[in-house]
Amino acid sequence: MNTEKLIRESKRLMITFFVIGGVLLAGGVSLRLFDINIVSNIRAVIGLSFIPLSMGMIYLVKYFNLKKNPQKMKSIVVYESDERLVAIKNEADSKAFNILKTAIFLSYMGYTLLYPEDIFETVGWWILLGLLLISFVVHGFILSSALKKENASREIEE
Amino acid sequence: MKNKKMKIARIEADYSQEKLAEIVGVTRQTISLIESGNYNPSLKLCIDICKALGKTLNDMFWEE
Repeated sequence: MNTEKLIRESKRLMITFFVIGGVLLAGGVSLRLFDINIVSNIRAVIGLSFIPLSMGMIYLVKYFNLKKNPQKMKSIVVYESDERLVAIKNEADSKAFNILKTAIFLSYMGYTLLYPEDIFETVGWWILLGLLLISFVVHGFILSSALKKENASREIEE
Repeated sequence: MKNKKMKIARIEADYSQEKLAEIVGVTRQTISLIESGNYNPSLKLCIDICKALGKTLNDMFWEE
């Protein structure tokens, strides 16, 4: 990954996080100001907005550092693009995802078996089911799109 | 298995591990691990290293 690509990626992520954070913050503040009770806990919405806003700030600092001094940031670029480190990072991400998926599956199974009366009834059960389905669907979607991409590039080469 | 050919080629080219790493866009540790035989580089990285040192893939990575 070269510096230009890293600058573009930092800019894209910075804007995305600021937009998400801004929408959450503005939504939370508006709901509170106009006393609209769509969400049970408006403070939580405002609190949640600080996570993407903080991420946005991190990418803002990174973006300006990259723009100001590309040479200084070269070592960071190397650390982010070194194939060995990328492979290690991907392996860690993959393991973490599998652990999370297993944890969600066990939580869902445990909750369903321990509280069968909650099935289809409580928000918690639906959230766990949703997370479980999302984890499987996302995995399948990413895998199939990666395979499609690889097949497409192979066809172009042939 | 240690990659002595790569180490010799690097020294002949008068490059330090750090310099070679900078040219091919990896960390010094990666170069060190390749030379010590503890990391198998991708074909792309092999080609980049060969180009940087002015050698062919056969010269650098083929085992007799």
